[in-house]
Amino acid sequence: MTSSGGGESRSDKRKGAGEVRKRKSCTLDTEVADVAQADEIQSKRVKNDEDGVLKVRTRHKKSNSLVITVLGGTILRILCYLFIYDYLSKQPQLSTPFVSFQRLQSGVAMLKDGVSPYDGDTILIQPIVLHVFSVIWSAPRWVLLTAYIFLDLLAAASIRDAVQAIFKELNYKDPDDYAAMAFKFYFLNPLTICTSAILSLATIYNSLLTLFVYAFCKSALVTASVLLGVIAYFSLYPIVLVISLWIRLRTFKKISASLGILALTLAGLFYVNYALNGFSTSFVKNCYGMLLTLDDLTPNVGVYWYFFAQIFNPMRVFYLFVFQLILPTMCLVLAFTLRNDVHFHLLISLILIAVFSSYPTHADAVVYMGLLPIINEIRIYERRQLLLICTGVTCATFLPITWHMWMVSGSGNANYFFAVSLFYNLAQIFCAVDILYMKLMRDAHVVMDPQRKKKIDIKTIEFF
Amino acid sequence: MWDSNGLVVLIFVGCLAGAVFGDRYNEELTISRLPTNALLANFRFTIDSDGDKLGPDYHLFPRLVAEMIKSHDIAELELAFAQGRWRLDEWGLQTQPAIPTGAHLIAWINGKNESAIDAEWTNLVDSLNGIFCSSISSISKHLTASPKQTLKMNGVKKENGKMMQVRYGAVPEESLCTENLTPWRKLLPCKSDGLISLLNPYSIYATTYSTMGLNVIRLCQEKTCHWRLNAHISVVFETNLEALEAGILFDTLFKRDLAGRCSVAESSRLLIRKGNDEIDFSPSPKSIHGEGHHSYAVFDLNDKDLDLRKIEFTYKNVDASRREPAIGIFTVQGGVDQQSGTLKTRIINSDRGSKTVTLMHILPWFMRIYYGSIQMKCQLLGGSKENVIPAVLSKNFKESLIRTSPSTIEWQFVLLHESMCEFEFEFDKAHMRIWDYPPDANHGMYAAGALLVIDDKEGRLHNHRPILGDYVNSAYEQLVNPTLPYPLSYSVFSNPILVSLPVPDFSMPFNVICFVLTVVSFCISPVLRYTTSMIMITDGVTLEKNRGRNLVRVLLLGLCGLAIYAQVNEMSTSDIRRKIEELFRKLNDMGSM
Repeated sequence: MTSSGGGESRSDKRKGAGEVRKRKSCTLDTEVADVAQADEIQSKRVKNDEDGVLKVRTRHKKSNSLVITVLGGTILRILCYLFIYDYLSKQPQLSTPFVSFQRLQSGVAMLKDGVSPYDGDTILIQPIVLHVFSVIWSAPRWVLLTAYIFLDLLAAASIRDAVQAIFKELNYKDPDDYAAMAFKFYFLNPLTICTSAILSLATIYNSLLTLFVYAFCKSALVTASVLLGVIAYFSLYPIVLVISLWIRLRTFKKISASLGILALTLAGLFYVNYALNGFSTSFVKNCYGMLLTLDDLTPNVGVYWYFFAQIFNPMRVFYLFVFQLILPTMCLVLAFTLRNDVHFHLLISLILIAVFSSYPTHADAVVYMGLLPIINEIRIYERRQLLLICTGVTCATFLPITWHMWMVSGSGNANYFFAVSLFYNLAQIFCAVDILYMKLMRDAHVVMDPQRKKKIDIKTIEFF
Repeated sequence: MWDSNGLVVLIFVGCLAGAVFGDRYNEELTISRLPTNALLANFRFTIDSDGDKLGPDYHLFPRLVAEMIKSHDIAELELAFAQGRWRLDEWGLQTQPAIPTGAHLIAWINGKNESAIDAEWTNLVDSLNGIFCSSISSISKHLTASPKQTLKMNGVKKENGKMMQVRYGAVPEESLCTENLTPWRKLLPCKSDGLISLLNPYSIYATTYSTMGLNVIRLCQEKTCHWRLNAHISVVFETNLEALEAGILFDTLFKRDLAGRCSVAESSRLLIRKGNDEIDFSPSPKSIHGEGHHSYAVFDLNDKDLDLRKIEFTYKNVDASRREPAIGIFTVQGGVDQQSGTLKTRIINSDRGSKTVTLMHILPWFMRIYYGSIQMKCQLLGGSKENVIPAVLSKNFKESLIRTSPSTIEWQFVLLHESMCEFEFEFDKAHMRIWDYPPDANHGMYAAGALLVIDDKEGRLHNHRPILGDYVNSAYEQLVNPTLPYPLSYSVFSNPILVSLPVPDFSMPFNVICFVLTVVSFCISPVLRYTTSMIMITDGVTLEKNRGRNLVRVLLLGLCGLAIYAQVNEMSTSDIRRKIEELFRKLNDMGSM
């Protein structure tokens, strides 16, 4: 065992010392026992009448803020739909061929005209989605928009309840406040608003994904497995979340049961689609083949489109394999390290899905953004929070600008858009890595020095 | 009376000659004044084979074509090139068979199954590409379509129990030049005598519109079948009224005179459309056939009494009444950005009769068509501008496949009398791999124009044609033989369009690869580090010192010092290298001592 401890620079030491100081000030907050004690004291105080009145008032305030959130979000969505729909629906960071409403429209029109949608490779949407939409197609568009807003509300509520459940399970303080924050974070997120305003299919998939997250947090084995099957069927990459589910369920019996349910769901959905498509598997090469081979090089916020536009042909297949294997490998590896912290594994997996799937959009990012309040307790170890937030906001702003420069005004070329999307992904990756780091630091702290009395210095001991 | 007897004798002799030599060869040049006072010259060389079986002895029918037909099992074939654009609104209907700007190839191929037909087609495209020194091989790569409704076979299929399918490919950016003409000329039996001697590349390729093509058809008459090869060239010479009135010689148009007569040609004719003009012919033609718009002065160039150098025609009085163009079609592209666009094809029917038409668009894969956005709007011309709902009879749509095949749109509908229809749809412009872009990527890529096939059973468009002659029959055959039907359908092509595609930066594939892999490694390396190591809390005790790391630091410091020293002394890198070399040499010397 070699150590790299001795060589740490002075600045690191200073930083370490700073962290220690900071941690000391937060000792009360992080100690579970202390928290429980504080709660007791608080509950004693609440007996006072005046405080009771205050509490009622805060509840009023909370319900008011909920109403304002829902109303504001709805109005924003309607405004976006009415005024900037055309602009937003052309943005590659909001809609890819897999979730685009225009492609859905084409697919439905083909279905109605009796043209097989899967002869070519324009329609990349599952037959069941096409059939469902062809049934409700005649409904006026505002009905669809209302349904999308409700789906978003459902998703936001699931995120809220999921956060609440996580906070309660981990004995973190103020679960209700953070849950309300998660709700606002999801429902008022500009990216969510834009996604549902352009009627992107990602809204539907996201509501399923958030329902899965809720079921996951509630340890509802059957519901979670079924939902995971459905969501994995539609957008494939969330299948890696099954690893989180395994480490959550722990026992072999439960794991095999969930696997069975998952397989059944997938097989059932596949059969339904197969039957809807006239007992033909032609949709497979469109809906899944395109995800894996990346033949459609329409730009998106991921890292792969430009890479596969530029890669030399002989190396193409090699890199396809490499990039498609990164996501499952990482999730699997992380499962060993984070086997006791399933929620964080889920969160990091969600971030990695938003980075390493073939055709990601901003809609992939909003789910993990909604779950971010759960890092509140470990935030004292954060290293570059401000930098990451600023990068994220800047990139989200710059993406449409560089896209306009490249596509419309011609004053910039592809590299501008590519560079910004690269930094956007870098920010997400650092976010995931930082969460992992914070979690490990806290664990180390809790295990090695629960009393917080030692003079400590944190080193990484490398095994090789 | 003598005339008809003469004709009978001629036909008899012709049959006899046919029996003796087998194959027959006819040549014909039709000259017609277009409404803008331009002159259209249409050459047509027809070779009829002796019988259904081609080979093993070849007389006049080119062996190259015969072997191609046999080896690829082709039922019918058309290859044509066109340079420039036929102006439908000024010149009237296109000469039939119509040719789009660029090149197109149509083949009806027999085969066991579709993949066998595709394989034959690929070989055929490549061999024709080689024979005619063209660059149409992109057809076999990603421009092959197999339309279902628009294209009809003109000949008769050989019954051999195999399935037959049509394959179509068009290359709008193909240009026509001398190197295509030379192999084409070599297919004909007379290479420097007869009408072919007029084909002077300098004059025919200096014009605004010229075409070149050939088609091979199998024709049957009561169980006896034979093959026919039509080789045709059309040229439009931009002339004006003064030039027409000054008199036209072969030399004026082609800058060359007729050199001799082709001895194997069964007939060699010059047809000049008289129409309603007053034309002075010198020498005067033996006969003027036809009437009205399609009346032609016919010269038999095989006639020994005719001095070929002295044929001249002078327009005395030109029929100035401009005929309203019966059919108009053009394609325009909308959209301001490189991301997506709209394609709009406008079809105008100024004729009094409604027509059943089929519109076919073959669009390359980089135009990703939104099927849901396809719509057709029709409007009556004239004062009312009333919107009418078009009667769509049948639709056929085939989506494109990335890098493999184009999308096919075929819409058959009724084009009402004096109406205008607009067929439009939206498309996304695809992003391609950098290796798929042409060398001049910012120029954009071409997409072929639409083909409109107009059914005209009533013969209303007959008088809108500049010359007679169709896919099968030559102008003279149609002129003297009224039992030959008028073409039942006409095809016209709209203009090709130039799509400006979004382009990546071509200069930096290595940079992109490095950047992306760096970003990915930013994820992999910390995950690897944190998952394979353990975070320990040391009790303020510093562990043993790492000498290796310190050594590296010292080295780095040394390098920095060196850099600063070089900067201060304003040394260039070559100076430093020289000094280091000197140092090493000294060390060597020390070592050797």
